Amino acid sequence: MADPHRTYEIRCPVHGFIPIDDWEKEIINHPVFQRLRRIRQLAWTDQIYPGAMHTRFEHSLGVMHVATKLFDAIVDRSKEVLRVELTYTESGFQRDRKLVRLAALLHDVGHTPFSHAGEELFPMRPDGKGRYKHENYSAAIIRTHMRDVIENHPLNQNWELRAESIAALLEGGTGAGRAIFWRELIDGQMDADRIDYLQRDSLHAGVDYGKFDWRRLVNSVEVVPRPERRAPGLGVSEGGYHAAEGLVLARYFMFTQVYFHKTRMAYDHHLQEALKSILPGGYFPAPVGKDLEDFLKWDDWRVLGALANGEGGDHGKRLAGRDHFREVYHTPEVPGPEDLATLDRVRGELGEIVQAEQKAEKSWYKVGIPDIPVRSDNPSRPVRPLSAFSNMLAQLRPSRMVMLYCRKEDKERAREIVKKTLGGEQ
Amino acid sequence: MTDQERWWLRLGLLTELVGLASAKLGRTALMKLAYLLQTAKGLPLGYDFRLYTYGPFDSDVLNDLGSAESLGAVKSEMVTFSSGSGYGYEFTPGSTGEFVRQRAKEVLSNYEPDIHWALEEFGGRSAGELELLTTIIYADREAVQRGEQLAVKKLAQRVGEVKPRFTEQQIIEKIEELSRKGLLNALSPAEQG
Repeated sequence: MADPHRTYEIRCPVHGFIPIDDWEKEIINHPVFQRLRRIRQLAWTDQIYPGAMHTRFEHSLGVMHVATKLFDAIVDRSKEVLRVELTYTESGFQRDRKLVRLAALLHDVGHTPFSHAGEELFPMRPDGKGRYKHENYSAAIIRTHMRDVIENHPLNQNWELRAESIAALLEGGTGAGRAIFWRELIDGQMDADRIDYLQRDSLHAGVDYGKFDWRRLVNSVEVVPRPERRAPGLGVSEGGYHAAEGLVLARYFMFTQVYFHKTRMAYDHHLQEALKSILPGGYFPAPVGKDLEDFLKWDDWRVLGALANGEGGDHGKRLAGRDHFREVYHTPEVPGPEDLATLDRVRGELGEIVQAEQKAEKSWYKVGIPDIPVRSDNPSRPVRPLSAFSNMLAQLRPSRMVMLYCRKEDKERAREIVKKTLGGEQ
Repeated sequence: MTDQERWWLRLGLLTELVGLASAKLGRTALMKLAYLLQTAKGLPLGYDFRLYTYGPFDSDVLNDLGSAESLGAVKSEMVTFSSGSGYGYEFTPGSTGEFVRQRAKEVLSNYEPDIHWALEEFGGRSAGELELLTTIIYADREAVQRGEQLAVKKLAQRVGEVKPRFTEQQIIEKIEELSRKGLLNALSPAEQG
């Protein structure tokens, strides 16, 4: 057996060297984690930004790295608050640091091929709560396939971590106990996932929109007092509020320029429709029992193989031939009642020419309303929301843009109809 | 129900809650009332609430509030608390509330009694209280999903691990209150209120 105390480093194009221990190396080497090498982070975005060929594998390593930086910075700045509020001891901090690292590392193991593009094809949950989410798949995989490699490594004798605790932290369950506090580092307004994907997607897409001073942000995050809620929360010190502002703006710019790019969204539509045709029954297997085994056999390679074999129907052919749908009309980013009425009219006039409709609020990457508490340096006004410091963010509203698409050959006819419809309003 | 219809239902509900409340509601109250109505009364809102240290949360509720505000259906104002160091937001009706309510009228009308129930039972609670109450319901539903029946003490223990600032006695009192209202499903039959 290899020395369990040996440490390793993995090169990362964003963060440089990412250190891991032998336990994490075994998890990374697990076939279920290696599957992430075969799942592209941004689906078919390379059709617009050719460099965007990176995978969930490198992103997952990056999230673990950033989550650790955040955890260490928060404990360093807020140790006493955490001791009082959540009764932490030194060994408690060390145990939950490991828990956060593993949760961050494994948060995406439940992704479908081509990441978010396939999520509309998750089956419905039996409890009537809508479709499964990739977090449900990640948690199920951790509880089953990853349980042994998590619980039985010699280093775990120091922590006695359970796969269930990691799954509960990812899903948002009581099984995480007080560690649920750290869920904000995995899925929150300033989480490690966002910080990593904005940097990484920018780098690979070759754009600068997602870059912001994330290291400054990490060193500004702290536990802020929220006595009215009787629960501690994360915020930033005033010195770091521009970095937090930068994070929100980076998300906004990346959304408008990359994630919700009109052609990228057309490819997402084609991929989803092609997958419907390729998947048995039109949906991915559920995250339970034998179905979960079947789910894990799906990756980009398998889908690309099916497409190469002529599966995927009309949309598969469009993907292969780059014959994507064309956008013919879009609303403003934040449509008002009149804009929505115009959309209804345009949609009605276009009729069957409309082949697809993409909505910003359905996007996984949508930009929400930020509510990051900022601890002022002025002792008379200790905590205020980021929007009280930033005029720009005070005006930010969630994008509700809707885009209508038609076939390439119908584009001119569609544009004439839209022109005629809108002309009546001018 | 289409996604579009569901979206109008969400905005219609939030607008209705703001319009009907006897006192101004904050973000936490609207978040938790939406949770209660979806979880306890079955409103088909389609939110995906996950547990945080401050209780069940889905950022889509805040996004929908932002959309309702940008449409002019509600207005918000930041307020600071007289004690402590916190802040919050208070929502009041906007000028186009009727436009939004009309879009969701058909579905919303089926749930009018539930909306009144939520406001009467929970509309006047503090943010901290709502966070505790909804965390208890979240833990209860989680146990149901696992096929577990729990004693009050066991449920209180699970909630207490997530919300250590509340004493066991405070949590048990809230469990008993929710049980009396018939809102808990995982308690052992002998412990049902």
